[in-house]
Amino acid sequence: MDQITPDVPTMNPTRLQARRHALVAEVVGKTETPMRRKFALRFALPAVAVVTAVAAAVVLLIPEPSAYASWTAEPQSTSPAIAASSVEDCRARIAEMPTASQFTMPTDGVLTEQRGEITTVVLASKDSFGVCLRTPHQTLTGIGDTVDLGADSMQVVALPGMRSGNEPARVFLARVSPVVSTARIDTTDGRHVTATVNQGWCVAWWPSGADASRITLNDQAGNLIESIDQPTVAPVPAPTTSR
Amino acid sequence: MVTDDQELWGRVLEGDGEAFGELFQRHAPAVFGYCLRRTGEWAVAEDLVSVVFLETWRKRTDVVTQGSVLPWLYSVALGVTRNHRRAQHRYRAALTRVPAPFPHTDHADEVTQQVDAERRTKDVIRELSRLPRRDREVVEMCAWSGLTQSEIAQALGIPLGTVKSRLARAQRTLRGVLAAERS
Repeated sequence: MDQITPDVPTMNPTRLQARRHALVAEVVGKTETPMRRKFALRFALPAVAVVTAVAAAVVLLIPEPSAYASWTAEPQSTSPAIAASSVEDCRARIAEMPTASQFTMPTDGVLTEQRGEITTVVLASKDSFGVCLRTPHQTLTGIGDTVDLGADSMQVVALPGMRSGNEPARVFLARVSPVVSTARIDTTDGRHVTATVNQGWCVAWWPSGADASRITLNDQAGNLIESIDQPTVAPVPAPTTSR
Repeated sequence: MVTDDQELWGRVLEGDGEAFGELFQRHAPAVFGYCLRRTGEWAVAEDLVSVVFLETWRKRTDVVTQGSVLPWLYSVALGVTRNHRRAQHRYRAALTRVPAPFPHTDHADEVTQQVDAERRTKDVIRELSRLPRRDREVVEMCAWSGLTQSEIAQALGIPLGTVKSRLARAQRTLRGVLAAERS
């Protein structure tokens, strides 16, 4: 290891102090209007702890309790007709989002799943994603920048949702390698949620504010590809100038 | 009295910028060394240290720390150095507010030190580039961070067994490369 550990001088103490003061000034200046609050004000979200893990306008309203009660840990497949109408509906709702113009519109329906009464749709383009959770009475929508998968098995794109409130819920959205066939999410409150995987995307949601504690990825033969503890959102590329 | 990371982090979660500044003071040199060895460019590494801490602040509510925050900082530093050009774009406005350094009495010596460090780190980067990315990142974290293998697993978000296997494979590869160059 010594051969790959070149000695490097320490940071100049003066520059270290200058950067410390600049950092503190920067973060203190931002404390009064954190990004979460901007989202909350802009979209009049319910006064609950909204988790926005990406620089994206992920808007999640609270589904009605009856829809939550029908939740299943195992997703059901959707009929082609429902899938097609859900994708169309999602495209339209994403386009109506106030912040949609800040992103490349995600148009390809890459994934549809059903858990009880709630249908989830993931749209994607090269640079962006859109997600809709459709209940019988309302649709929850989100749009944001995607991340590069690179050589990894999985990169988490977003972990939005509500940690607290009357009806907490968390959503897990990730890009996965083509070799990934199934994904299971263990949550910190003891749930084992089977995610839906299709076209290099992976999605799941669960009706609690618990974090994902472990993701287990398997290939088509059931072989373990990777098990990832405490997944976090991958760094999001900076906005491009074309937006 | 020395305040531990956990207490400082608790204050950070309440929005205490000064506590975050204390964490910066404590850990910036280590993060700088890691960023410099990853990029081989002194000025870039200095900027990336600020980006790492800005990003850590931005994501502070998503982090559950136990003990030192260093594993999390290295995890962020890994992501930031992967994407440093794009990340710099995002934080350009904040970086421009970093004041210019005061004149340094031994400027020539400092520049010489920086150039030497850049040369050494670039040599190492070139050698390590022969490894697959995921193996390389484990080796780098192991060699440069001072974290335990369990902490590295936490920082990289992979199981401990994967850290061990990637490290063993990388060491075999590196030994082969170094042996071939000596012969």
